Amino acid sequence: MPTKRKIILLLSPFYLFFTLFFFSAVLKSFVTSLGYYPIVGLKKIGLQYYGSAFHSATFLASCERTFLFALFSTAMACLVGLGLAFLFNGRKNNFTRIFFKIAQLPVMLPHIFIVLALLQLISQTGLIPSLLVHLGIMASINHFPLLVNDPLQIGIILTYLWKEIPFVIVSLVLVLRQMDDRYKIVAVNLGATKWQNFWHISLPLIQPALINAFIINFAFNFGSYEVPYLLGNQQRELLPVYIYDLYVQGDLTQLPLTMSLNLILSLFSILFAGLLLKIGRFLPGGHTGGSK
Amino acid sequence: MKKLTKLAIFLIFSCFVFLPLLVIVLLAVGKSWNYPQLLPQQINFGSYFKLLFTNHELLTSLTASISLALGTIVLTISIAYPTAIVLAYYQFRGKKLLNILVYLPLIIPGIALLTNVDFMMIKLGLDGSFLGVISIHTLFCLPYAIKLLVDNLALLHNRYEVVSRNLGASGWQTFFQITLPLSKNGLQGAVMMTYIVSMTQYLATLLVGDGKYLTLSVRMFPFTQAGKYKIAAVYGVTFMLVTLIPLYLIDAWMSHQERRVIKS
Amino acid sequence: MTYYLNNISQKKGGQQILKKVNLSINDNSIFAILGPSGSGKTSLLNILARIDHPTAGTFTGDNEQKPKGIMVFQDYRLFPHMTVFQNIVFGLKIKKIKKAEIRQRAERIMMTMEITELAKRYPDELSGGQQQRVALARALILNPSLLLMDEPFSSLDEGLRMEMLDFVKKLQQQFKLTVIFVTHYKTEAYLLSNQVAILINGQIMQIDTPRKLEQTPANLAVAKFLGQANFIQGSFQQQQFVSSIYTGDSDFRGTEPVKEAILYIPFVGSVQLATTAFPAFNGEIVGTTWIGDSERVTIAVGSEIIYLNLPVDSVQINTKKQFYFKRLPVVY
Repeated sequence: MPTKRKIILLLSPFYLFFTLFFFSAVLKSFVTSLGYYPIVGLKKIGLQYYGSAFHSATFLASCERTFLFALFSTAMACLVGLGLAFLFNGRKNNFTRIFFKIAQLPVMLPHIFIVLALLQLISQTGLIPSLLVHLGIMASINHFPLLVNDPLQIGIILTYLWKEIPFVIVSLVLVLRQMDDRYKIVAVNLGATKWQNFWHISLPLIQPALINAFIINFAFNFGSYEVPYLLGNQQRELLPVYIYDLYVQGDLTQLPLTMSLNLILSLFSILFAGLLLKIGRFLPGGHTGGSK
Repeated sequence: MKKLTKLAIFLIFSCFVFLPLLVIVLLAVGKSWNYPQLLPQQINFGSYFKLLFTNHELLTSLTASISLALGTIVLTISIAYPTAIVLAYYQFRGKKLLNILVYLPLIIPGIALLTNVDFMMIKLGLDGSFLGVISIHTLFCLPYAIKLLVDNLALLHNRYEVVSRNLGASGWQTFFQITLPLSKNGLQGAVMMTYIVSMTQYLATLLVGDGKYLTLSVRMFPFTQAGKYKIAAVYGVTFMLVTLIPLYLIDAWMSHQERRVIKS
Repeated sequence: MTYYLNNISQKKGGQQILKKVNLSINDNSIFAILGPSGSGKTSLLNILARIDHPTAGTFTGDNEQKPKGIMVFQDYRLFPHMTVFQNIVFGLKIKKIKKAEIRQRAERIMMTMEITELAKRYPDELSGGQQQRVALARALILNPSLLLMDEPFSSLDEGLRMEMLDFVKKLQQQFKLTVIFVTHYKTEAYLLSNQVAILINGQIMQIDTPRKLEQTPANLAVAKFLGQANFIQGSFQQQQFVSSIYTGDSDFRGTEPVKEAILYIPFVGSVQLATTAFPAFNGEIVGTTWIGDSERVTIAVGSEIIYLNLPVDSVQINTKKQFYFKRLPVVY
């Protein structure tokens, strides 16, 4: 069979699936967001919903808050994950093998797990405040800071860190193991110290994997609903909760607005991911990073 | 001294991972664990297992979770495998674009993608159907599955396929005798990851499933919200039983197999 | 300065990789370590590069307590994420040398290596020969007194190999380097170096000039490794070698008189037609193959077959000839 036909044949399941459930969904949202939604009699096509989105103070404030929140929590997860991955990446060492197995655990469990545990542990009637009172460190549980549904979103950040630090570790350790010591040995022979080795060799070589992990985690923290819904602060609502409420409230005439918000967010996320990839390309390790 | 710091970091990290899990297990098997008691007054594993085998809701959740996960695995692999073969073995126009497309479901914010797709599912009449739910799960599984398979296939490239064809094997024979056995590790990884991603989905299952597929992670949500931590934890422990144990066993079996190959 | 390897032994995972290696290597020279794969060559180089520590023994120099060789790796190992220029200046950059000086030294070395126009390229855009030049430049820019090369020419094709051989020779003279290189190709070792050490099973078997090595290998293992020779089974009795093709005096190099002995007749330079004091055997020419500068001649001596490289057209097929040893033949 000619290669071209073979490629088309092999790719057809993917394109069929994506056309049915992805492109069509995006297209339909796009049409709707332009104001064409005949079921409820909306037929005036235009950019009016995008206009009102950009004029909505609530939406913009929520956008900014969510963006900064996602940026901060993702950076924390990547930084800590990077450090731990470098500390424990040996393949032969039993100790680091156990570490890797432990790091895989949170990746396999849903977010609701850690939410449940956090509520039991650090809410004001939780175990940690009780323990502190028992030990006499704190006079009463009322002195324990509010960590869930708090204005600083600490509960959500803790949840995301629990899930994402291990995710970063797992993705980086796999790359580090593949790289083994080949380039490290050369650098040492040419006179590099441990720190120079990390900075000039190892870090650039895993930079692409780190950027990928950052993008995936950022998109999640920016756009996932369940954790902010359970642990978020009502006064400082995060974007996913805002959009979900708008979508399920049942007022069909609001749907074009919801869809325009969705598309704005999607476009923003794609552009942001593209920007991160561009930056990564520009930084050391951008060319042929991630050892072959 | 340096070793000691490393050990301390290791212990802190282990606590960070295990403490929440321990709390959930204690919640599930503990009795009368109320504020301000630090530990449950009674531990009873029996009551948990009794619940596991008799509670109708728990059992339907379990079946829903597993059947969705299995359906998602079949759909995901049948799409991801041919796509990965093309991405790993061939150069063609539009490859770069395809590489980006594959990752879009992970880059677009979940809430935006989910509401978009749910909206489309209603239109297609798949809202609340098995196919609809496994399709949305597949959308989130595909990036991981394709990545794992491509990495595995690219490692070997198609040099052995070329040998096989040169020795006279047909395309299908080459696929079954060479390509499939060589991608065993990649397929294993992709299946395991798909299983995990499908099992952990919450909003996708709820929204597209129209509330008809109350999986373990979906059911944990309202119980947690309502403060019924014990029953939520029972679902949580069940979740761990059906994910961690089988995945650990598969992993152990595979590495045992590998070691045997190396020894011989 | 002279470098000394004193009783270096290396053990890894219960396996003895190097056994009491003793060498002294003169400066401003090229020293070759020749041996089959798995003989411990790379382990030895790693010790000289201080990548690895020996389990016993030391590596010292005349006026340097702990000399360290700069290594050019067999697979070059250019950092894949750096351009040619960045690769070359790596060793200077980490020493925090001034930018202007780095630039100047880099330009000079790139000129010498004839790779100036490659400066902005990445390793995956280079050919094998270009990669090797970059790897050499990366090492030489540090002005090392000791340069180590691991199988430097094994992945180059024939023409390029000769070119690089000459180039390395030129570099050695220009930079007054001491070069230690390991290889499993004897021609490479002979072309590059006057002093060749044979390493087999982690032991230095012989250190000699190429000519001496070929004429009189120290033992059977060396002879077998060098190859290109006939090995005739026989016995050694009353100071005489006895076999079906030759019986008589010999240069016996076995440890003690044994029943089993082996006569060593290299294809080149051991046997000739012109008469000497050491008649060898009478045989029938059964075949000739042209191999460029000479002819590989197949000779039937009784039931044995002997191969020799003789001048082209010196013998006719299907004729019988008397052959003579050039000197007393070696027996192990």
